Amino acid sequence: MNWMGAYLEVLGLLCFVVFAAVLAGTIRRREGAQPWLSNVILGAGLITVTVKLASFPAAFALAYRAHEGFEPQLAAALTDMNDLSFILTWPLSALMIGAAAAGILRYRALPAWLGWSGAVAAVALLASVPLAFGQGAFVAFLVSTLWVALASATMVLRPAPEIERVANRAAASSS
Amino acid sequence: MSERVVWRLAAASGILYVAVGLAHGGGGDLTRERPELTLRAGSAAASAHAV
Repeated sequence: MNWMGAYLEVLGLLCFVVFAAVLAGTIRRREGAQPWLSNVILGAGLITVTVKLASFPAAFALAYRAHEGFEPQLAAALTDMNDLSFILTWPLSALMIGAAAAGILRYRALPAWLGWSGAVAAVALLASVPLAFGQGAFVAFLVSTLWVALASATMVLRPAPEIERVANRAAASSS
Repeated sequence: MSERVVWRLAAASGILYVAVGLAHGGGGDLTRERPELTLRAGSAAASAHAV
């Protein structure tokens, strides 16, 4: 097992938590007093990471004790626990991206194309779950990953101007 | 560091997440180095990107 690769994946998942928070914050600034869409984005993002992180011990245990040998059924169970957790992250990601798409399209927090593409990615992810053991379903995961990269790049290039205005208002009101 | 720079760095976390995932690739895949553990051919797609 490539332990450095596994560690990189843990770091990547931590980045995903930050991404979910930034994405939720972007929608939150456009929502009103009932910011449920941004809460769903952050919540689904956190659960996505939690489910995937929770699958690591099964894979790590398998690799850690591999040199001692495993019963095939036990090895299969540990491997499947890891794989199925990965598949379980698809509907959770679909919820996060779907909520983000709804927020983007409703509040115009980000470009509309990002909202529509997010809606497509979310539906594709949901539709892929029952087909998870075929090769084609994996495409939906790749599409959603691409959406994350595009959303991230868009937010880097289009930092929310409201941040400074809100900060300035707070500073002005306190002085 | 200004608020906006911090925001940009945080917003870049999604790119970092994808980049790390691509860099990782199948590197952590148990079944790649231990093909005897691939007991179900149907799970190959999931295994390829699981830890």
